[in-house]
Amino acid sequence: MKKYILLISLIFTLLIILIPTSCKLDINEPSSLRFSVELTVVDTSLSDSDSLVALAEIIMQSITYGDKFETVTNEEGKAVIHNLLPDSYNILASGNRLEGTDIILINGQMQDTSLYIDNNDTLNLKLIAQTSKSSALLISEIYYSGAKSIIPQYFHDQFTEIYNNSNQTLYLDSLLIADVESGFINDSLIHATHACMFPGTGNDYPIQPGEFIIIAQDAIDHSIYPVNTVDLTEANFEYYLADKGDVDNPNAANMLNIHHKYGNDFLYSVFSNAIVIMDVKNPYEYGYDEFNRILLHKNAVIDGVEYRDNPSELDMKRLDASIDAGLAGGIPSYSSQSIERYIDRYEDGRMILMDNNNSSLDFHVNKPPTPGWVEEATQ
Amino acid sequence: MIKKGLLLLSTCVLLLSAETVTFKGYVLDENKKPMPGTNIIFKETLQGAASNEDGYFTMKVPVGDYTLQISFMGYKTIEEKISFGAAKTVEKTFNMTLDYFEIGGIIVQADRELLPSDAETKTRISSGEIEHMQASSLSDVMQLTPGTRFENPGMAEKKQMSIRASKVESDASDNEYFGAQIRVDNIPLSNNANLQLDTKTTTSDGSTMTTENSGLDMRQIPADNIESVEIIRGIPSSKYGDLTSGIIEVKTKSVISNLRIKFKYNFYNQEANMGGGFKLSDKQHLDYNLNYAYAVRDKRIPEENYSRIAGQLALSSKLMQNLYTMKNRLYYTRAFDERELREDDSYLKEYYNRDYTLRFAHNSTYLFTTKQKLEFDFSANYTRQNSYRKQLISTDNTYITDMMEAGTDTGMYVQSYISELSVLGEAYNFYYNLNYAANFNFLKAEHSFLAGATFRDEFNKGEGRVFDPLTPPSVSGIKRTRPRTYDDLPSLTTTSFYIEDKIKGKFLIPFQLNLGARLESYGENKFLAKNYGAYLNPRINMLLSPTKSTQIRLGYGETSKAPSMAMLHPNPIYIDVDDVNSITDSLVIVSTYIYHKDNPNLKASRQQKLEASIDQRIGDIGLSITAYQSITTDGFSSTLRNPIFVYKYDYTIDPINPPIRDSISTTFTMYDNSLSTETQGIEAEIRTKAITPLNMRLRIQGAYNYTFSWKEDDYDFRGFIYNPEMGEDVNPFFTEISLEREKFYINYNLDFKIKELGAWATISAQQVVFDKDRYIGLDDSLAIGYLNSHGEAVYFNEAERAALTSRSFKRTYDDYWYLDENRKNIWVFNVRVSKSLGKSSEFSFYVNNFFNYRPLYQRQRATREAYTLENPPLYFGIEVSSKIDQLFKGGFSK
Repeated sequence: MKKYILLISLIFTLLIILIPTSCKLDINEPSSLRFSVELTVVDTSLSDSDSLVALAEIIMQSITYGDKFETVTNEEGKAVIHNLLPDSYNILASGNRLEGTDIILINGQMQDTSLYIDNNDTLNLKLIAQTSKSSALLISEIYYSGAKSIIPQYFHDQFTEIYNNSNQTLYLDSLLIADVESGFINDSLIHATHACMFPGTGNDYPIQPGEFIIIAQDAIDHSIYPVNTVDLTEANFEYYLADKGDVDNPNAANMLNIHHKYGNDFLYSVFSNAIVIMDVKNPYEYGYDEFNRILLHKNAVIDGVEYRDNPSELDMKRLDASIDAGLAGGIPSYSSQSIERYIDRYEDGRMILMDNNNSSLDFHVNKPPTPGWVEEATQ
Repeated sequence: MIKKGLLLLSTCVLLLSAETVTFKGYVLDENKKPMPGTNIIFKETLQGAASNEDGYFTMKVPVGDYTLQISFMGYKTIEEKISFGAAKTVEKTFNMTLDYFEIGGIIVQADRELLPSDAETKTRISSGEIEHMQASSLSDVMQLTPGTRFENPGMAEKKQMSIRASKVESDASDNEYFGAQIRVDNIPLSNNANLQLDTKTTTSDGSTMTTENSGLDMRQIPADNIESVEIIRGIPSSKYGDLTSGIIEVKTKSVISNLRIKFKYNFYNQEANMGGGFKLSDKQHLDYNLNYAYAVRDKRIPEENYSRIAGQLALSSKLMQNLYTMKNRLYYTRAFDERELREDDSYLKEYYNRDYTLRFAHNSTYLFTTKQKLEFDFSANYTRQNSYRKQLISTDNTYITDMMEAGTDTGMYVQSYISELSVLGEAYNFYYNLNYAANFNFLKAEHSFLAGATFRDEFNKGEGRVFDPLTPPSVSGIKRTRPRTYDDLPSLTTTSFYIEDKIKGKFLIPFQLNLGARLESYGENKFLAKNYGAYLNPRINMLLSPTKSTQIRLGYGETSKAPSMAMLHPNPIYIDVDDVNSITDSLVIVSTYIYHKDNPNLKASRQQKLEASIDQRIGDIGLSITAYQSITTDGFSSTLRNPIFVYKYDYTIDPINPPIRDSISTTFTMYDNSLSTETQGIEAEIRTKAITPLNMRLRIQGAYNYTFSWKEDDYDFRGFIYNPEMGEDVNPFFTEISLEREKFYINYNLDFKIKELGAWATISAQQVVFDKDRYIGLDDSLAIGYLNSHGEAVYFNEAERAALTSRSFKRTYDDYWYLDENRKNIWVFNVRVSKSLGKSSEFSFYVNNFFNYRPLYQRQRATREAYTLENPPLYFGIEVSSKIDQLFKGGFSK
């Protein structure tokens, strides 16, 4: 027996040696395909000249191989990443600067960018970042995944949690929540399948500093169906469609339906979506697109969060870098998990949630969902 | 009419009493052995007889000149002039010669005529061709008609027949399938009483399982017992009614033959068949056939399978000195179409259709005078359909009620649940047809005259839709469904009368002229009822032969098709409105409103068809070119209706500040006659006689077809949206976008029939020269009108339309919508071989797409790069058959 094994291994070794040598004759061995990238993050918002963004967090991910590189730009706003293979890359940059006392967020993204250079050289790459400000009102948690129960899927327990990150009382009256259709990232308009408005005429629905409010799909105790889910009977608001046979909890204020393309409720996709909260004077100003989706202007977005089952698929993004430069998520559907913001710091006992306008950095996965509070989590 | 009949009757009585001659004959085969069962007929008088066991027959014939015809399937027909005069008894011997050879049971027929002999355009397919291609059901046979894309045989999915139309849109296809009539042994099968409503569940492969409002599933008809199939694509004789697109005429086997068994095997289908026929007495014989088939769509998913048991018994009798022939047949088909629970299915779906059909069919022919005959066909068909759908209904949290009457009551809250729905239909179809045929000479022309009446009575007595109203099969907003029985539905009746005169004569050139008309009325419950319309459908076919090798055929015909019971009596809509809805108190008060959707104004659909053909014979080559146009009007279309509006009880109208939404509404669809389809095309065929020494025949068929379908009053509704300019919710509607398609396929068929080797080989190729489609109507971007928030339709006039500025009343399409899809120059090659194994057995195999050529086609109308794989995959199958008695008897048989 041993003899045979020896013989076979001998033949194999010979084959392995012989075959490449015989081929080597007409093929030049390639030098390593790997190369380096020197990335410069540029902020064009300042009037004087292009300024370089120092200490910006860089995430670079290869689409084919999934290799993830993380680094930080130096004082000159440059970061060098070595050992890259030729491929299409998604690149994210997130930094900030002070303008007086205001923190200006600087975010940039490059999607599906094909990178390759010969001869072990260094490729110079310029990433133009956009600036935005952190918002006072934040989407602090989205529970979209749904849960499994005796029935294999349950997704009516979805909720959105909103947090007042500022030190002033804010009002939710007439703000809009919408979901963003994919494929229009370079459009100045958001194409939304659903849009709902908070009720109230101005000062009816205040939100105090440090307060959470919950918008439920259905404000009921969902744990009577799937066990490992949430009780939303105490939710502040719920989506209610009067003509779709929806259930109604009279204790939760009903969101006003502005646009509803399909479905029996305002259902978030359990796979990928972007949820925005907007301050829109007239939601009908821009009308509809050809697929009966309502059009809303991007400038009206207060905060937006994009999630996806595979958060490395930055090339499929719906929101641009000024709203959300990253992607949260990476949760299997029906897994009773939510996405939730990290706690950044405490100011005078008031909790400040992290907001870089980049949900790849700002959000973590949370199980079980925490409607009305935030789980301490470390980055 | 009656007077004429009496006159004819008295003439024949006179004829009978005239001087007669006793005519005796012997029919012998090639080996000078007596041939029983041959058919002897005098063409002029239609008087006929059959030879007995000893090949002997006798007839009493009036003095005169006759053309005698002796025929037997597979033998060359003998036709000779014969005069009876002075002699009291005439005795003659006839030698029949084989017109075919057999490959262990497969009949290989000899040359077909190079030019068609009938005025109407049809394709005739013999049992040999069906066996040679290893068809499992009637649908596989359809591939032998021009313009049908090659597919691999199989029974895993529902199969319906379409004649000369390209698929453009689902309603148009359903009309096409529904209007194609399948006739088995002179009895039209019908899908009119199919009420398997709302079970058209889409399966995982995207097909649907039931066929209500559409054509019959052809898998029900096994291919193995078929003697011949005739596909009439042109103008049908006025004998045929209740159809629009065409006819598929199936004749099952009815001959005395030895028991033959057959097995077919290919990767996804297995089939076994046994059939034969034996003599009961001199006058009667009995044929039988039993078939079992099993198919899966995908071997990895054994849960999705189809099995079929089909049996047939046929008793043929000749009575009253062969003047009266009678055939009684009993058919039984049991089909199980199963979609069992799959392990990974999160919707827990379990579907099946378990149907059986029991049909008795009677045909009798009475030669009641020498030139006249009377035929009577009767059929009683019972189809039991059992469609079961069990699945998880994954609904939003909602309320539910089980109220069966309109009213208000407390309901309950529900969440996703398992629903079980059974749709139990019992379709009955009764068919009566009385047909009178006479041959006479008038104005130097031969007339074959036909007149008759048909009555069909079809109804459904099933238990209907059975389910627990608290776990209904669908919950869609406020639109709900309830159990329903079919017991008290009225029956659908079709009453028709028809006449036809086939005139053969010579006026400068030989001609054949078929003039026919059919009066059809469709209605409810009664004979002659016409509440669904009455139509006079003319049918004209003409054949002119300017030279011996040229003929011109022209045809015009109108046809009509009754609506189905499922279109006439759809399920009512139940609207459940939550007057009080407070989940925290677990209190929901629901008002139920019922909307009956009976459709009394629906009429039959109609088709006009025009055809012109030229047949030319050049030496041993025959060439036919046919151009056709058919226009379907009043086609059945499932049309979205204006929504139903209901108000919650606490609704009050504030006249100063009217709310944006003043009520809740739901939409629904109803069948109407708004569909029109236009098809045009050219079919060309070249065939050769056998080319020696390999006995090779070439046939090339080209088929060009253009199909366009549109809906008259159907609109593209965009759903209710808020219009800020008007300050209310509106539902704008636009013109429908229609698809137009044209395609050109060429089939090449090379046949080698080699008697010496007992082999038959066929190489066939199909070339998709092009197959393209495009959308029509995309440029019309302005709304025609809108539904206001009360559901009233408001139409814009031309000036208002031109002045529209609101975005709500505009639609735009991305550029890719304007692109043509065009599949070009796709080839597929198939080969089939049948070879005898000894005297009584045979082995066949086929390889489809043997180059495994599967090109990728890039779809044009797609947002991202998308491809489809063209051509069926490489596929092969085998078949063996054997005549059992001969196998065991060995050398004893002749």
